[in-house]
Amino acid sequence: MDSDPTRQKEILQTYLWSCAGYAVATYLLAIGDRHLENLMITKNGNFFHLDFGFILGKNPPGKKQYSPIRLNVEIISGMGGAKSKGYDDFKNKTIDAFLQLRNHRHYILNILTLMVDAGLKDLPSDDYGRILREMDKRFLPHLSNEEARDHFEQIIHESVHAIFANLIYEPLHNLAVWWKY
Amino acid sequence: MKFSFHARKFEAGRTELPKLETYSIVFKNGDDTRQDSLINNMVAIMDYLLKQVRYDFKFTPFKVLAASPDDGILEFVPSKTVTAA
Repeated sequence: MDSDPTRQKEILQTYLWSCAGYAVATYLLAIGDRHLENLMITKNGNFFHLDFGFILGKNPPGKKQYSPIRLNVEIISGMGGAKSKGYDDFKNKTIDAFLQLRNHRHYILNILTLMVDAGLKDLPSDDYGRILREMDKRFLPHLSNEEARDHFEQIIHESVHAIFANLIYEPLHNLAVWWKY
Repeated sequence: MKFSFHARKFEAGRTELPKLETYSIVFKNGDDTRQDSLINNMVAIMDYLLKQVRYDFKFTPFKVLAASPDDGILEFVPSKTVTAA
């Protein structure tokens, strides 16, 4: 860990930006099976997700996604906790990213539609209409920008509340992994 | 399986010999890496759209080369899991 304070600030900023970016991306693409083993962080503070075995609303059998936005207690404590300035920063950045990407809703959905014929497990060609409509709904297309901002903020709040249910679930997953290997 | 190698990145217009750098890739079997590829491409598109309006969200869309529906090659980004960090 770097001890230089300006460098530390830079790393924290990178962490907040990338957390916000991935929060929106994983929300829109409804990525499933998120647990601490597939959340990565580089030494520069770049936070990112990997292992996209379950996407577009799918989850492993028997596992429920608790919150629309994929957050963990650990991710939030990295920002300084749910009442810190870092967290507020993160929240504002997340909302900004969401509102910007809302303008490109059709572009993003069209590109995804091109993948329908590939016959991916989570984007089957016989059920893609429903999946894409659900994704469209996540952009909150029926709301104005101001309404969407409020609604999306509400979604973030709900997600943060929901992760406390995860507090119980996460150790169980770790135990299950330990059991398996 | 992780696989590392050294290579030089040549850039147009530069005459000196570039430094040797380590690149790592991961071979994965059993998962449909086309999904990883799709998501990383979508993330790259979102990154591009946000950069158009001068937002840099510091995304890390790693490269994926799907070889068949159940194996593929992934770029390894030096990092730690959140639990280890």
